[in-house]
Amino acid sequence: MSGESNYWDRFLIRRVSRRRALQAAGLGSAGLAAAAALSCGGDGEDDGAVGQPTAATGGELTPTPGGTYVGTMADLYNMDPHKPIAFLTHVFASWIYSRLMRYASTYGELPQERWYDVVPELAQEVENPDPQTYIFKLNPEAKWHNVDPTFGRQVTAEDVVFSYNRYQELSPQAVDMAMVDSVTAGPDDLTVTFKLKHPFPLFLRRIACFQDLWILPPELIDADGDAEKRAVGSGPFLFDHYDRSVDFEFRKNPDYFEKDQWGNRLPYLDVLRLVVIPDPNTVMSQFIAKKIYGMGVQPRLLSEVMSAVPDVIVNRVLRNLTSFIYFQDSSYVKDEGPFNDVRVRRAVSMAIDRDGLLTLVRAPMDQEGGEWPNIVPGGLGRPWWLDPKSSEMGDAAQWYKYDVAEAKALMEAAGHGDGFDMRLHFSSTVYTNIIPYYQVVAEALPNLMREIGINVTLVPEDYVGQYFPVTYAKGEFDGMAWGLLSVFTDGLGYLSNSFLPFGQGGGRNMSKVRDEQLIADLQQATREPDIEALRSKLFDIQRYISDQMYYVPGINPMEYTVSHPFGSPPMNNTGPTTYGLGTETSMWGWLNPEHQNP
Amino acid sequence: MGRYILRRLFLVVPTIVGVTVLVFLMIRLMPGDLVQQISGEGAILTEEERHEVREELGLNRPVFQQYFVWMGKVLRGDLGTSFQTKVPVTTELKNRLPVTMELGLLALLISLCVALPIGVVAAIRQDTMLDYVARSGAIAFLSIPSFWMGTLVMVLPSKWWGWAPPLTYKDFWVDPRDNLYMLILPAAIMGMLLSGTVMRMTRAQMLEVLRQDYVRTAWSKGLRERTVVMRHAIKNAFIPVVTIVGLQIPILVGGTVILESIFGIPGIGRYLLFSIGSLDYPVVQAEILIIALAVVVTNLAVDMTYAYLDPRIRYG
Repeated sequence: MSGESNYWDRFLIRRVSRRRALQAAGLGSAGLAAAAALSCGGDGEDDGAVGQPTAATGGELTPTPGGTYVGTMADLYNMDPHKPIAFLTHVFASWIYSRLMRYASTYGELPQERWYDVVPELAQEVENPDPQTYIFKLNPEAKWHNVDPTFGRQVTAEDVVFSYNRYQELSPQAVDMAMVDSVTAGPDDLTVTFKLKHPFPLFLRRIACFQDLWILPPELIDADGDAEKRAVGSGPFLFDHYDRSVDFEFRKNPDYFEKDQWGNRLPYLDVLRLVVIPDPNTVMSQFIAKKIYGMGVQPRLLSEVMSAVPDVIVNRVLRNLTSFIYFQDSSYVKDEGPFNDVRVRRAVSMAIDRDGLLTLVRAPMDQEGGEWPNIVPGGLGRPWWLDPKSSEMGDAAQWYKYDVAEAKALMEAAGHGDGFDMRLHFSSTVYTNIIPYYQVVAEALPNLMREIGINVTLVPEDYVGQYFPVTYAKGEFDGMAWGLLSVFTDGLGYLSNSFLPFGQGGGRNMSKVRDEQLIADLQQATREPDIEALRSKLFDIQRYISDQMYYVPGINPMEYTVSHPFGSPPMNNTGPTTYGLGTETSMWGWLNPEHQNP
Repeated sequence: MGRYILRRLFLVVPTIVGVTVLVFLMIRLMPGDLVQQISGEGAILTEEERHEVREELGLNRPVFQQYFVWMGKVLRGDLGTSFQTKVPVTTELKNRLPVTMELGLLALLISLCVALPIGVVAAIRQDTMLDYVARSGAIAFLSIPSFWMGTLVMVLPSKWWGWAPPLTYKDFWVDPRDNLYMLILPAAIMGMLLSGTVMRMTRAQMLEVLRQDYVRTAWSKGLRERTVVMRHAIKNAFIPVVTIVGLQIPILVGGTVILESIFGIPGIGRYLLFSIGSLDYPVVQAEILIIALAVVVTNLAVDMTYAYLDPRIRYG
């Protein structure tokens, strides 16, 4: 085994300690490589795009501007970031559009305590004169892309007001900003004021959240009616084209206002090209052939990649992504069996061998890693996540233990001793490449459920046509479904979205759970002005939902990404930016001329 | 001949109508929620809003009415607009159809170049080692699924030599070298798979023809083997072979759907797959219409070829 460890150590450039990984909510872009594996360098068609190193500081090269990155991305179904809840649209938006604030990222290693820092993006500074007022001063250098219809115009406070109103009108996420009372521009063009209905200590996190307030130019919407046909924003990259099922191309925004610590304008890259490759074997082959420079990789393929690419950089990532089983909404809306009975739900949870599943989806040479989520994932970090294995979970911890005998007893007590047949819906596309463990677990679940008498029939669904719009977004399905919860950046985001009434803040409450006590607790937590008291309230809620098992949490495993050394190391060192790939991560990406692409 | 072509063209109409009606109905039976998808996945729509979106897409009318509206537009050269991209389908097809056609033609060319000579030689040298090898090869080509072969061709060279096919498609008229560099492998895979059937058919037909009296007469006249085979045997043996080649077109289209996805080729096969998944009715309908037309026209062309290959065949 020690031989294996040495083998692993040779490749694992930056091993993430468990504690650090937990606090970091994933190693940022390396994890994002799964969503949109960014990589740098030419693909044979852009050879020689790399310049010479500009300077050396402390043995470390400073970034070299220029060049073309080639990575992968999945097909998009909406380009307008105010309309859908689809994560890919928000990933796409992060290359093109800006938010008032964003999450911290930098060139080089970002200290772990800063990974959840909210830093200015469009807003140069924020004043918080009282707990219910936030005054954002926009960066005077912030300009819209110098293309039709904005032609490099300055971003103004009116644009923010316009975007906020549009977001409130259209976005299924709008309840994330339900605490906002009013947004007004003035007294000058660069000042915008958010008045809150009540103090909300997580407000700036919500402003920075990549699922919420993207700032869009009014003239784009006036001209096109929506932002579906083209993308014009103020972000680090200009949209060049999206050829469906072929590729995306972004060009550097030469007027982007953010700068690095040496005063160089970001982004460093000239061109960012993301190809759409549905087949994971093809992605792997193109990576090995050095035509794609970074990718999320299935654990079973990791050894293959490591032996084919000796200098590959491997990253282990614990993302803030919860996997879970959800039930047909009639369980809660009409009190229909069998999942209206808490004993059945607990039995389902106890039939899941979470440690076994974590081992199943872990790289063969890796001996640890991965956590058990409740609805809040371990990847979000200790400040917000209550570990189901910890004593803090209290009595509810018992429902997470893998105990088939006890689960069967619960089924018996619920009157289902003979078991029942049930369908399990899951997405058989898109996730397959992006989150490789999802399908592995989907295929393992029927065996686990069979142990307690639930005969599961898997129902594969196309992500675009059926799974996302119907099963996930509307919760219209029969039986059970296997899903991945969207990524949020605070514990309240996970809990509110999952348990507030569907359509009233419960954007991810697809089973339409309606527990008045839980709703009251969440509403109370939303109004809690003190962050420590808020944290404590959210822990109470996590205990409660773990006891009720309205949704049955799955696993939060280590995920693996690989990149070639031509890729700049900073690509791997950003914070909790799973959807903010474009701004937080890609603008720091550069080509390392010490490792030329052959 | 002209009348025959006209009659055949006339018969094309019910075939195409049948295909389009089937596709029109079946795509609408697929599970999913088009309105939700178009409005944004998480959008919470009232019934009124859903009605408005459906109205805008023309989906509120009865299906038969939708069909006639669509057909009317098709007859005027308008294939509709993609629900997803809002781009006219003709624009998308203009870019993608030539790619698939090139891939298909290359595959067909490769299959014929491999299958015909080997089939002929295998027949002439019946029961020799060459014949056994050719027959085994044909069976092997028939047995190997294209997706498996495609995956192997993609994975193994990268593992052994760090090589993979190009990522980016280049138009033939812009960069013929890179264009062929990208298409040659999938075309070869498809070509090899198609060649199995053609090779076996060619061999069987050649064997039959070589046993005909007129061929025996040719031999007895002391003609050279080349003359007997090329002038007297091949032409007659090829009539059924041509039919088989014509029937390969739908298989070819099916193959492109898989191989375009594996090799990242931006043709209509891959686009069709995407459009079916995203319930993009106008695109699916238009693509199937074009594929159906291609099959029908190819079969017509095959029939026309008979007259050239066998002067006894007359159409009228």
